[in-house]
Amino acid sequence: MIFTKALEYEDIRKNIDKDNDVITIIGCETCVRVAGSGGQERMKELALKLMSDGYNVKDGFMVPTACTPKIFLAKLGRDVNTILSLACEAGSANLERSYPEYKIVQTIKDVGLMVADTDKNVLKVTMPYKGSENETGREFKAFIGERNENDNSLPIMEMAEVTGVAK
Amino acid sequence: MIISLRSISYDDLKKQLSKDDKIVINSCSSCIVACGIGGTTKMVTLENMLRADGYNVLGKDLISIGCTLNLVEKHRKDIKKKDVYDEATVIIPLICENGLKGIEHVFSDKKVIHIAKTLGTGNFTMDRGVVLTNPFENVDLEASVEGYELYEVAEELGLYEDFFDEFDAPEIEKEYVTFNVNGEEIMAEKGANLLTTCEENGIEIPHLCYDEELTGAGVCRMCLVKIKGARDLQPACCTPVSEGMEVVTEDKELNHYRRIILELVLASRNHNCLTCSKGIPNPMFSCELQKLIRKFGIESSRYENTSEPILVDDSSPVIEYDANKCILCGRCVRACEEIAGQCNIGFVNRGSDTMVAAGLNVEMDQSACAACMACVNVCPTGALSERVIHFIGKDWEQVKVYADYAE
Repeated sequence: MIFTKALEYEDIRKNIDKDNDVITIIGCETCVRVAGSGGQERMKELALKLMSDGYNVKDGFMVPTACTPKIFLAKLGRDVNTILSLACEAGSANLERSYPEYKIVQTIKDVGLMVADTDKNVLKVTMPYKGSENETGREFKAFIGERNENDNSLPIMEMAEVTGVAK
Repeated sequence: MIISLRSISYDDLKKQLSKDDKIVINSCSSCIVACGIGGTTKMVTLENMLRADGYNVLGKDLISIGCTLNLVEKHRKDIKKKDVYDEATVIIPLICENGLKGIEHVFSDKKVIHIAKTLGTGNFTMDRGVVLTNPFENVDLEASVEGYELYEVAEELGLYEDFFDEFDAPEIEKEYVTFNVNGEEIMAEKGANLLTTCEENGIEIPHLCYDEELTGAGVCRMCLVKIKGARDLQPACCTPVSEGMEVVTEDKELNHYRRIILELVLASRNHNCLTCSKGIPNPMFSCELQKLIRKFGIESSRYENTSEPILVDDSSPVIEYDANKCILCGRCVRACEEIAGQCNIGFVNRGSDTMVAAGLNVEMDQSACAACMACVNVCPTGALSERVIHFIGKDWEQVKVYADYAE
């Protein structure tokens, strides 16, 4: 699975236009939900905040996976011209390629790959993208994304591995 | 989706093995399958190759999501798999490098031989298959919305664009039998499954409870066939082929039985295609029941439907369970046990009240469901499906895209 973090609200807001953008939010229910950066609650939180700040958010769709053709299960309204992607960067790339006439705005950034334990509700970053090397071996609360108090709930990596970018 | 390619040749793999090794091949059933180097068929290919070369392959095991550590641990401890895993000295996982971390931990007492290199993340597309859009730094490719096709990346990085080639191994010595199906002579490996052998030879046998990734159950009775000398009709999905067997897969009597079964299924509960996520067949998912109903030209059931509507369980964020569309084939029950390693889904009640339920007959999100989708992927109807939710209005109210009520 892919570990992601939500972008700051201000960073999202500066990419959308109050007057011209008619917005649909498309969210993925797989990795970003488990990582706590996406999912229904986060989508609602983002949508209500944008609406209260005067942005024209029409609706939102949660699809099973955003990195597959299942994004077409979202039925976009005729007046929509902007899609906020509540998906990983691969999901956003899929949206950009599939909806070339729409403005796609990312709301989530990739950190790296992760291993999860859904019984313990813990995630561990195993293979980071460039710039997130310091996240290697770190553990987070599944579905919430908060940093765990310690990093040894999932003893899957030797300390020697907790180095640099994915090799 | 995590993108991986095969990184070693078959010869490289063999160099890491000895004839004394006791091998188990396991595979993740997620991204690696889309990348063409994992899944049941690839495990079978590798198993056959290694056996042909004289290696001792004890078994193979499909894991719904290999990067979910607790699921891998449950597979290792599974009462039906534990002895094989305990006896094994070598594990060959068909899994990405991320999932490999969990495999190496769970099987730390074994030699683990990895065959894949993980390159980054990407998409599954209908026209170009899997593409790499967000490569890792060490892959030395720029991020690309269009994405790189796997053969391009393989060429660039000196990796292999597909799975091991079965012709790299000597032909395995198999015992073949010849038998007769509907007057046609067929040759197949002794003990092969009758249903799949017939399908491989272009003879379609209707079925609902059989899935090639699960053990046969023979409960839907749709694949009953006539076998000369057998006491009664036999389920093809649970019958091995043998020398001289004479089989009839389709005639007026068998089709009559199948029509009755389908009409009884239609009369039990509510199978309304107009409000079902699998109602419109498409390349990603289609309803196997609907396909059979169309094949047999059934427009309505002659039996009265006395079933009471059952509340749809949409408690899970990802799975919708509509028991009204369940045909009790048991595929989900077997998938949860065999592929997820969870045993979280089972049958409850008896007789006409029988239904599939999670945990101790609780809502899905109150059970131990890991949302690995093993059950959803094998469900032949719209009973278990992936949720698609539409949110609208100033209060962000949710409405289902497919629902038994008007939106």
